[in-house]
Amino acid sequence: MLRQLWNFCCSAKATIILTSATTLVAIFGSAQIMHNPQLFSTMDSKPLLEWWYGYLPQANIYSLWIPLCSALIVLLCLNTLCCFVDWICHLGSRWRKMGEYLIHLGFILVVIAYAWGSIYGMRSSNNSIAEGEIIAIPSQRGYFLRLNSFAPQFAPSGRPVDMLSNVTLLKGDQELKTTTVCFNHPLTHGGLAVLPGSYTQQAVGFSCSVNQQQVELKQGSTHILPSGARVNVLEFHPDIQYIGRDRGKNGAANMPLRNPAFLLELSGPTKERKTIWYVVKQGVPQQLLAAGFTPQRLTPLYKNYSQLTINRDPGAPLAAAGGIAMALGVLLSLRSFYVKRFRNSYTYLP
Amino acid sequence: MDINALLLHGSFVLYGLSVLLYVANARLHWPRLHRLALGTVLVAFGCQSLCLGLRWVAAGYLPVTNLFSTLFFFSWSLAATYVYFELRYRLASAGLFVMLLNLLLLYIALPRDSTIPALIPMLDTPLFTLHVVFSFLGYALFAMAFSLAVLYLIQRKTSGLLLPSSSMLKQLNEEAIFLGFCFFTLSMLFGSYWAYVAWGYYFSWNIKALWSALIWLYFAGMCHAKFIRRWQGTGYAWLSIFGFALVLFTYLGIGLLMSSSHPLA
Ligand code: HEM
Repeated sequence: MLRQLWNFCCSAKATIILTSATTLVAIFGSAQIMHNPQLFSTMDSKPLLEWWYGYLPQANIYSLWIPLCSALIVLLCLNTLCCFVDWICHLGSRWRKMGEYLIHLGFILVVIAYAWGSIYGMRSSNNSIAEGEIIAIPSQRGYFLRLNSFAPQFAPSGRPVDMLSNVTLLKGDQELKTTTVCFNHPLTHGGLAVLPGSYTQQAVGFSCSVNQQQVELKQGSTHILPSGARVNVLEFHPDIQYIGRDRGKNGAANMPLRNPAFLLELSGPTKERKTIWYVVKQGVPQQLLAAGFTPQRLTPLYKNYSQLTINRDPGAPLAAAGGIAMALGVLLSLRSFYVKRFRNSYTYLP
Repeated sequence: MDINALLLHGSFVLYGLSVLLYVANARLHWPRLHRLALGTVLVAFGCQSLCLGLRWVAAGYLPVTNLFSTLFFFSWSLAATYVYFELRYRLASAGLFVMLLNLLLLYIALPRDSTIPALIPMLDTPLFTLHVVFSFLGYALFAMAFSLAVLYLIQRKTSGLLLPSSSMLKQLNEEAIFLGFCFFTLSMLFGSYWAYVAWGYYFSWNIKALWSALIWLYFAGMCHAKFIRRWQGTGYAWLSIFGFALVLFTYLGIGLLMSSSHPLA
């Protein structure tokens, strides 16, 4: 009875049935993807399980292809595992099939790795970070990312073609790895991958001439006027209507320069202090003019923000091991195929 | 006319000539005619390989980034597959479908713009080259399997004397499927690794990636079907034909009918 059950689990017929069924279900699934692109195009944005939970409220009977396909692949993986174990048990007489069984092992590892990553992985895009800034790695406590330098690359036509972000991965204060990430060159560490996503520019102030002197008005800058008064820039907002909303996720820099405004602190020679709003479109307030603050020829100052994709897939190293096993298996089984062809002998399965 | 255009047009004419010679040989069975046909194919393949090599050197990367280059490379892969089977097994007209497909692809490619575009950083990786090369070699072998499967079915129905024996056709079909599966596996592995370094995940749920995985599974299943007596011969031939239909849909159908986030869809 047990023997029969084991034979069934190791049966190549089951393999053919399962591969055919998975193929048919995936064909059906691809039709669903085609008919519902808005929904399914978000599938890559999250690990499969997290995406599925988010998707559940909209799920209908036709979307059952995803769990069905997953279940069939798990069954196929179990079927392959049984075959692999069976082969290990007869290794003495069947070691020549090393190549074929490395392909099987590779498949098992890749399926386990994908399931692991789908359950415990994390995907996060558009993490905005400016040069010199540090951000926390999402859902990875104690890990941080510092952007040391950022340089977008442009084609002669002016089209952006690549983004070079020199980043350091930190665990607490300890530097783990420093790499320049650009297309096809991510920073990887264990299952963590940091990749270029896009980039954006955020206005951080204005460059202007004040009393024939070129100065930069931006948060933190201080200007001493001929009268002895000081102007400190406390805040800068690209759009006064959206104060507090100009920095989104992880300090996302995405606020266009519409109605820029400065919050300034004017301290006179007698040390009294006043905070004054200077809304650029409305002109310089009277109090500032009186103190001799007459900014002219304002040109916006921009800061580049690299928008990085940060993914964590704990199964990635295992998937890499599976991939290597499969590639080696292919090479070995190609060799053994030709040896078999040469001898013209086959193993017929029942 | 520059050297590349000369080689390209030359190989097209020579492939066409070789097809005529093979067809004549299928009727007349003259060993000399067969040798001449084989020689013509080899010269044509040499011209096409030289053209590919020159374009590769000129571009600094294997040019497979636009429609002309992919058609041209697919045609080269088909010719390489045909040459392999012909040199190894003297397949002659049994692989003619592959040669006709090759001619058709070249015919579609010839009027198109053959200038090599600048390589965008996204595609500037050997992983891309390996992914494309192995996938086209895999597709070419599946096309050969289709050709052999159709002839196998014809042979079983008509026991046509001009065709190779059915056992030979069956054996070659299995070889084409197995080799195709091996190349396709390598293509999937390089493609997955590339996806990981480019996007941070190694499997994307875009239509093209899904269909590639589906084809891979299908042919993995076929690799086992040949060990089961009931599936050998006619069943296996039909599986090969259906498998090639899946391949055609993945290569052409998806690009034409659907939009996908795959870089080459
Ligand atoms: C998706 C998973 C699988 C893949 C990718 C796969 C792949 C392969 C490949 C490429 C071969 C070599 C075929 C040839 O020599 O032409 C092979 C052979 C074989 N596979 Fe699988 N296989 C899978 C699952 C399974 C399962 C579940 C079983 C269990 C029944 C199995 C049993 C065998 C056996 C017994 C052979 C023959 C080895 C020999 O030459 O004696 N395979 N497989």
